[in-house]
Amino acid sequence: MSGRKKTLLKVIILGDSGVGKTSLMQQFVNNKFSHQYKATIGADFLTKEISIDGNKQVTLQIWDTAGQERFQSLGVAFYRGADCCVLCYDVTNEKSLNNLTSWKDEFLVQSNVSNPQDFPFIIIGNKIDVDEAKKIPSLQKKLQNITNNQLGGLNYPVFETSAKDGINVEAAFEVIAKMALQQEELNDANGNDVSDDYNDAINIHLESESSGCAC
Amino acid sequence: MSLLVSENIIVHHPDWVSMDIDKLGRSLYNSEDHPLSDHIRSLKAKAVKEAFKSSLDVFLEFSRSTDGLISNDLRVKIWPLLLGIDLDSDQNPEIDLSSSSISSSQSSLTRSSTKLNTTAVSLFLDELQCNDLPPHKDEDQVKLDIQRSFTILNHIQAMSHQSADSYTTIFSKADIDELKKRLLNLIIKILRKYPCLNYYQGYHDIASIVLLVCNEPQSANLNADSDSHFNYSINEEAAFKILETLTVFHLRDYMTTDINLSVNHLRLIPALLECADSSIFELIKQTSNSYIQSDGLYYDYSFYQALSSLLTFYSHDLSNIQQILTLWDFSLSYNSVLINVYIYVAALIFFKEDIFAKLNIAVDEEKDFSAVDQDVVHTLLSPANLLEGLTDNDLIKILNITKKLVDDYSFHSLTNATTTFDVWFKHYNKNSVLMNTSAFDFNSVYKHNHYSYLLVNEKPLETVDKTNNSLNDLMQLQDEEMSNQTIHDLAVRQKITDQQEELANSMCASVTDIESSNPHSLSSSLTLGSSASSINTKIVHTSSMLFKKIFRSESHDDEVKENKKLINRNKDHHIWFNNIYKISFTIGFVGFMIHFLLMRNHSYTNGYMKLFSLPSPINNIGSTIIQNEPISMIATEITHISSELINDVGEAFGKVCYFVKESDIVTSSINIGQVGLGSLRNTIFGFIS
Repeated sequence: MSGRKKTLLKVIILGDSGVGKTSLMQQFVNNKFSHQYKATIGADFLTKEISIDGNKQVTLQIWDTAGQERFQSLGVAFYRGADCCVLCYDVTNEKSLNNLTSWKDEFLVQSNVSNPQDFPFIIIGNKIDVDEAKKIPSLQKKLQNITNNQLGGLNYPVFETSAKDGINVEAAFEVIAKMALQQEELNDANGNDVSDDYNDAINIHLESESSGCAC
Repeated sequence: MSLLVSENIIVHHPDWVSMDIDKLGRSLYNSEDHPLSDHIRSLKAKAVKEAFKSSLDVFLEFSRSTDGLISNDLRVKIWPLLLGIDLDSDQNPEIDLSSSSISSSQSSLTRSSTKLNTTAVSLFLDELQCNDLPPHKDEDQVKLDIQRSFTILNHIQAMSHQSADSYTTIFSKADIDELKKRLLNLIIKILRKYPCLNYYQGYHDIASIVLLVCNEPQSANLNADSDSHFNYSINEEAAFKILETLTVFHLRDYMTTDINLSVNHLRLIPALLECADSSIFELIKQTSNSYIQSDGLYYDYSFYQALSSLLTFYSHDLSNIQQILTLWDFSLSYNSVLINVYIYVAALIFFKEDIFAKLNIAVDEEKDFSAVDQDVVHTLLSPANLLEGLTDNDLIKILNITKKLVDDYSFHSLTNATTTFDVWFKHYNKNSVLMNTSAFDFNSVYKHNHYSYLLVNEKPLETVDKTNNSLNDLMQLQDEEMSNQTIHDLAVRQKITDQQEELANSMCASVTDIESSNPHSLSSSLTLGSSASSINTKIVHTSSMLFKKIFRSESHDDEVKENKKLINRNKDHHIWFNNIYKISFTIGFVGFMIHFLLMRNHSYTNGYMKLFSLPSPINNIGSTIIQNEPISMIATEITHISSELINDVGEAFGKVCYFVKESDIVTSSINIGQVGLGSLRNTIFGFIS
């Protein structure tokens, strides 16, 4: 992790199978959309260089992951060192919306980030190009419900996108990049020691244990 | 020799049919080779047809030689033979030997193939029969993946201009929709028939290749599809039988409850590389999570990149249908999923120079890859990078290397076998496909006959639902085997972490692994409902530190020795080990609670002091272990200590839990307190009794 350049930002895209994770990544990185994307197996990334606020050059390393639950336990191999996590749902699939919480929890458990309370997440509702009739009824209310209650009341940025038509994708990733950069700087400020916090806990233990022996 | 394409050889061997079998047997992939010309292809096709009169061995050689079995109408007949499907002994009365097959116009192309045709429409893809069975739990996922299937049909056109066969069909949108419908039907039929199997993403790729191969030109089909706009039909029964055998005999390991057994298969890739090409092995090893986190002490042979290649027999990764089919000819002829491991290793060796060039490292000079970026290596060694845009010549060369690897290295006799294959499969996963139905060294017909009890007899389709117990039992057994190995792996990892106290950071990974990979373990109860993940992380972290304290033992033992020792432990020791783990975990949990309270409320020092009289007897255990005293003595000592501890711990723990319940900081984690308390009691009482 320490060998990584500051400007390389690692972004993980998570979400249920079929919500359009691969399409989002492809639309952002290659500006293209296809109905031909295969189901993702395992995980791999694409990179894209962008400039934030017109001056800071960063390289986004965007990890596309498999949506099927059985592949989730592999996350521990891929999530390490992530700077931002994108939680995706499909605006026509209510289950994918309801699963956002478990994706977030699973990510935190597996990634071992230093600041789980304020680690940057962003929520993307994809497929807004579909007919209004197919969309989740009273989506906004349900979304609000989830962001306010289940996700710990934190206000993660929410974007509604269409990877197919390229709507809002660019804007969402701009925010993702900014959030990731902040996270990266925060980690740097912590001396790159992600477990700073825990070392204290351990030290207390070791001391007390030895004192226990002395008694 | 005779299969080679270069012009002079064509001159020497103008006619396939006239060549004797011994020569053909040696005509394997040659590294100098190119795909066959149309002329040679047709000659080879003729030779393959002739071979129906002779033995299976001939088909094996054809499958493993350049361009494989040439055309799909040959594949649909030979693949079942390669898979050992013995249609003659099939119990299905509708496919009995006395049918008119021998006199049929296709008599030269074996009895079995014709028989398949006669029953195709009557038995298979009958919606009603399929719907009679209860739905499989993964059907929603299947439907999602079907929508994204047959992307390969972009390349069907590439297939159609291969003039040696009769595939000139251009697939229209309607055709593809029809294919998708049939694919869904095929997969769901298998899954409903074997409800104990878990569908995985990628299985649909396998099924789609099977379906494509069983696609028959209309003229050759006796039961022409009545649907006029659909201008070809599919040999449904052949498709079902091929997929069924593939699934139950070869893909079963990938369809267990979790993905850990698939990950086990993946570990064979670096294991083989260690013997076959040390520089790529070192690159993989030194950029692996386990190696980096253990500060170079340990590599768990994890290698996730090839997941899609193994799970789909490369059909997910290759973008050219002809290449996929050629590879499948090769792969199926070995009748073992292990061949896919060899192929991946061969691909890595083939592209070795490319890989190192992209990393700006000179091959074989550099042995220290610590400066190489993990993620870049991940992507360079992934199939997307290795296999995308693979040329036909590359594939031939890769398969040629594969052949050589197979000859040179057997997993049973790899120099590292005692720490790799033997542990992962011989010892822990005795019922893995690699040990029986997909074993490398058994003949396919033997396997199919010997293990045919795993297949459900399809004749009484209506009563199928409860009859496949043998496979069901086997799958459960395999789940248990794998979780035993997971426990073992964790134990090894814990030992390693003892050796690197200073890298406290790495602890989280291994313990988090427990949580994610072993649903039955104690710790997983903490992950579930992890609304307070940060707290969990702390629990894990703190308790693992305590665990380390207890197990500060055998710290500088050789890793190999360590593994062997663990393997040799009998079941009792294993239970003992589990309990030690539980105790330490619980103690760690107590520690965390104390710490948690201390951080927020300094007035509770009483309970705190009480608890910290505990560690000294625990250290005794640790020292006992160091001295390698007999397990029974340790157990006695633990029993002794634990009886002493019960009162103290119980009392202190009660206090702690009281504080926790009172404290509104942790309102969301009261359940965690209860879990910890319950486990502590269970562990200690269980131990004494």
